[in-house]
Amino acid sequence: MTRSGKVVFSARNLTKIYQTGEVPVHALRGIDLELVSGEMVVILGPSGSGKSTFLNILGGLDQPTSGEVFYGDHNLVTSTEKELTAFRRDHVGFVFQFYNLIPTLTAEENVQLVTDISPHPMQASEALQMVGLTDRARHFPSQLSGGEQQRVAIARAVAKRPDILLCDEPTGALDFETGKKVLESILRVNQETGTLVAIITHNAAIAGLGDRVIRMANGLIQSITQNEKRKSLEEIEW
Amino acid sequence: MKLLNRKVFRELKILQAQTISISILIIAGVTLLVSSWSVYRSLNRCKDDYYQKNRFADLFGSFKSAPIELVNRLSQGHGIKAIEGRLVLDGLLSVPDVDEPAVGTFVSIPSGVQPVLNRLHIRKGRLPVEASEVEVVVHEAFAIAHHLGPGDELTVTIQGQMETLRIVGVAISPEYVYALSAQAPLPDDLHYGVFWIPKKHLERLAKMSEEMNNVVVELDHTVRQEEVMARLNVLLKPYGNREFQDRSRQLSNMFVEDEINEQKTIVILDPMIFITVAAFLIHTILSRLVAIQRPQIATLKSLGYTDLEISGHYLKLVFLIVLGGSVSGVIGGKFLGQALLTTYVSFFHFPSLDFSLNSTSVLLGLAAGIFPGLLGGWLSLRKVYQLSPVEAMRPPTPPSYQEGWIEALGLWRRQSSKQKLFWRNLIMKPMRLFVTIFGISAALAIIITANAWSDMLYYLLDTQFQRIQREDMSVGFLHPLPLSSMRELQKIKGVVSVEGYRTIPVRISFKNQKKELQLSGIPPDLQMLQKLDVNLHPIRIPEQGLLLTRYFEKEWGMKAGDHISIQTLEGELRVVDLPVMGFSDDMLGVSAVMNLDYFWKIFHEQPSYNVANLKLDPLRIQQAYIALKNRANVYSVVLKQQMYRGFQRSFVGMMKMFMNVVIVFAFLIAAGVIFNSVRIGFSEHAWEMTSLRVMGFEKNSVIALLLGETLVQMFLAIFPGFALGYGLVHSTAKAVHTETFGFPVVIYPETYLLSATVISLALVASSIWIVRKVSRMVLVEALKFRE
Ligand SMILES: Nc1ncnc2c1ncn2[C@@H]1O[C@H](COP(=O)(O)OP(=O)(O)OP(=O)(O)O)[C@@H](O)[C@H]1O
Ligand SMILES: [Mg+2]
Repeated sequence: MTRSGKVVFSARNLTKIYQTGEVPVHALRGIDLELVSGEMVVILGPSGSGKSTFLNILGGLDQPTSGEVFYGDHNLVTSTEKELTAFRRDHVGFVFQFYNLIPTLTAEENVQLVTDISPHPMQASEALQMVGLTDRARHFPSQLSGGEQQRVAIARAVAKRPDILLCDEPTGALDFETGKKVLESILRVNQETGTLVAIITHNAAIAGLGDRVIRMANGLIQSITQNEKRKSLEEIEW
Repeated sequence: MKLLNRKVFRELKILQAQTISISILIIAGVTLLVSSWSVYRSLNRCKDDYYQKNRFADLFGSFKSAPIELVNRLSQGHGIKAIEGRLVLDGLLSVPDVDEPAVGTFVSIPSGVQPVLNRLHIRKGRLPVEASEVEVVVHEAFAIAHHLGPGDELTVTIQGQMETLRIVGVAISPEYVYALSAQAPLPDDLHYGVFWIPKKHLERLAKMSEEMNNVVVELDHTVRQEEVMARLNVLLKPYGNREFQDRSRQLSNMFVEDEINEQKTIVILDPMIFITVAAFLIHTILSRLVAIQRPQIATLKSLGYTDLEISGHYLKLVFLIVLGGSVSGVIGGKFLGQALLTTYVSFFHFPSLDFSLNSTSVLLGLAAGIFPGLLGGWLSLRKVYQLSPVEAMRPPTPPSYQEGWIEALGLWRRQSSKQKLFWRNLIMKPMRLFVTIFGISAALAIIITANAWSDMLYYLLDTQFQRIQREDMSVGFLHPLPLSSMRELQKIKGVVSVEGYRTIPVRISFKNQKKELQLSGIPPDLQMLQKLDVNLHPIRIPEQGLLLTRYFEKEWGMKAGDHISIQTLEGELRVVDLPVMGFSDDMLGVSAVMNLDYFWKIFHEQPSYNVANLKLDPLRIQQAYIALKNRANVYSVVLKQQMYRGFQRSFVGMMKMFMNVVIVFAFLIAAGVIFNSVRIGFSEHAWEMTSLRVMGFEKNSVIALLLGETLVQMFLAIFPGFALGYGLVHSTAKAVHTETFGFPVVIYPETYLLSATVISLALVASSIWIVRKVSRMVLVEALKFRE
């Protein structure tokens, strides 16, 4: 680990088994990983390899079947529902493939939804500025393009000044140019605020943007690659 | 198409809760409709069968007296199939188990055999025969009220002559389905009864041998009824004839038909509301389903399914729901109808009350249950046609939302974004909001209408017996008495004060309309009998002219200043033309009132009274009673309190039974509507709410957001609901305005409160559901799908 920093997350022997069908599905089979403050991690892997499952557990949306997840010295596995809610509210920002904006609120109001309940948020306008949407603040989601909606979602996620930003295929539904703009916003958040960012993607080209690239397969971490030098957005192509 | 069918059943399962609540609405509506319609038809059929089998007469005539041989002459004209002359007389009864006297109407019949017309249906015992003892058959209603049966004895005073009667049978008759005295507008079985007695005995008691004072006629319908009546009227004129009446004016029949028709009027509206609400709900739910399944629909279209096939698929879903509801409703209607009819047995004195589920009510129920729902469903399917298959390929677009008028308000900016979210969700779909408000209002209105009937009845009886009739006891005399006689009554122990007035039976006619009623002459300062206006303020009796019940203004189109003709039906025959001065708002029956001095002048009478109203010492009522009933010349003694209770028992009881059923159903409708609104609101916002939870909102604030919406909808619905309820009550009350009841539109605050409470209960039930649902929300799953 070249980039030295405080360990933010540490997962130990994390497993997740879904018991829904007749055959249990082993979504995670034993994950060990540490995430360090300020770094940008790209998670790659084929469909069904357990990426989303892992990220959701990190973000306090889901509980593992066994293993431990520490946020700092806080054990997420033994946390109550209430503590997890507080954890998400105070520390985590989520960005999903489908932007999950509230259709009845304008861009700015969607961001305010978060700033209203966070302990030390930034101004909603500031967050929108970070994603380059100042002039769209009063538009409703239906009046925005997909990329713009996703950038609003990012602004919403970062407005609380989260310690970690978890993005699950943020560009999955977008074309190249629009995807780039979205990634630009995410990178800017990472660089300007030092927020730890974890991005799930199917797009190997994006891997160059991260400090580390984690490849998952079959519920296990297959490899972790350290990028000597992060590529800039202009350098990548897909 | 096979696969689509499977989809129908899967969706029924997913929409389980909604399916159930819509079904309940349809079941409720159809059940009410089928039961009330078949009860109505069953009652009508039982009545017609009874009338036919027991040869209920077509024409009824009464007169002072005529020789019995006159019957032969009367029967010779065309159009008459059968005719029978009888004696019909009133007597004062004393019944062993009660102190209070009662009035009995005695109808003569042949010894030991059935009369030709108005045949009796013997419930117990046998027909009376001429014997040394005076045998009678008593009407069932009176027998039940006094626990009388064959073998019992009672005493009667007819024209001053006392006689002991031996009861040998209990019977009912098509002529007296309701035992109604001409004096009281409602049946009062404790104080009024009908008896059948061998002719010879009645002749002896009445001192009218070989005479008759009443004939009944059966028509063969070869000649117009009016012609027969006219001819009979002419023939009987010399004998003090009161003019023949057909069935439509016969007291018992009038009452029976009113009661049966009321069944129809009251119950048609409520089922309609149930079904309309169900149709609206189906519309909302299906619109929602189509909106959710846009991608699926688009995909089906791109696969080559036609619009018709796809909308047919959704209609099949609706059809299954409404068909299930309607069929269950018909079955429920059969059972409810049977149950209702059983409770009516004690009310309608018919030989038997057989329930039959006739085919019209089945068809009516099925049609009313199925078509509105299908229509509601069909209308929500237009979206299917508008959808282009390309949609399947596009990423979902968020529902569009525009800044509206609320935003324009300055207040808006200061709201937190959570509050904004709340208000926008509420008004984003105005049609949905409207349907929900309409549904809740309808539920409120149904509960109000159901309960308003007992409110009105209570108000009506209360006003009649507390405000209009203020006496404790009313004493009627056979012959008018001089004014001084009131002082004698005052001396009776227990009598606190006495007021006298004068009544006479008359026939009033105005334009083509005629009616027999009691005309009263009352002193203007009378305390114990007051005429009231709409606001219950006493009306001063005008010095000249008549004060009539408002019924005549409403139904006969009379105006103050019109002249009406009055013909006396007792004593010397007089016909006078008098002006109508105004109208009073009576609750029970119809009346005509004039100033007592004016009365004496018009009818050329010496000052006299024939009715005395008494105030009694509450501790000495019994004593006063006994003293009064033993006085000569006393024709009737009525204790008001007892009459009041009797009415309450029979009417309020019967109405309550039916209304309770309606209230239960109204609760179901309220619960159905509210649950659906909460349910749809939840599924619509579930995903938003999950996002909020992901962002770190507390469970409670998410629940508050959802419930708040329903709460606001409820508040918005309360006043429209009250207004709708009032409107419905108003229109139904109007529809059942009869000569017997001048239904005032009265709804007590308790009724509004009750309806609001029932709605709140439904909200509480739905809240519990929401809380459970939000608690079980699986965050990870909800985020996987766009919906
Ligand atoms: N709720 C669930 N019930 C049962 N199995 C599940 C559930 N959620 C996920 N799985 C299974 O767990 C495994 C991992 O799923 P996960 O969503 O983490 O994959 P992923 O790597 O994010 O895939 P993708 O790239 O397609 O999003 C898959 O095999 C999936 O079928
Ligand atoms: Mg995934």
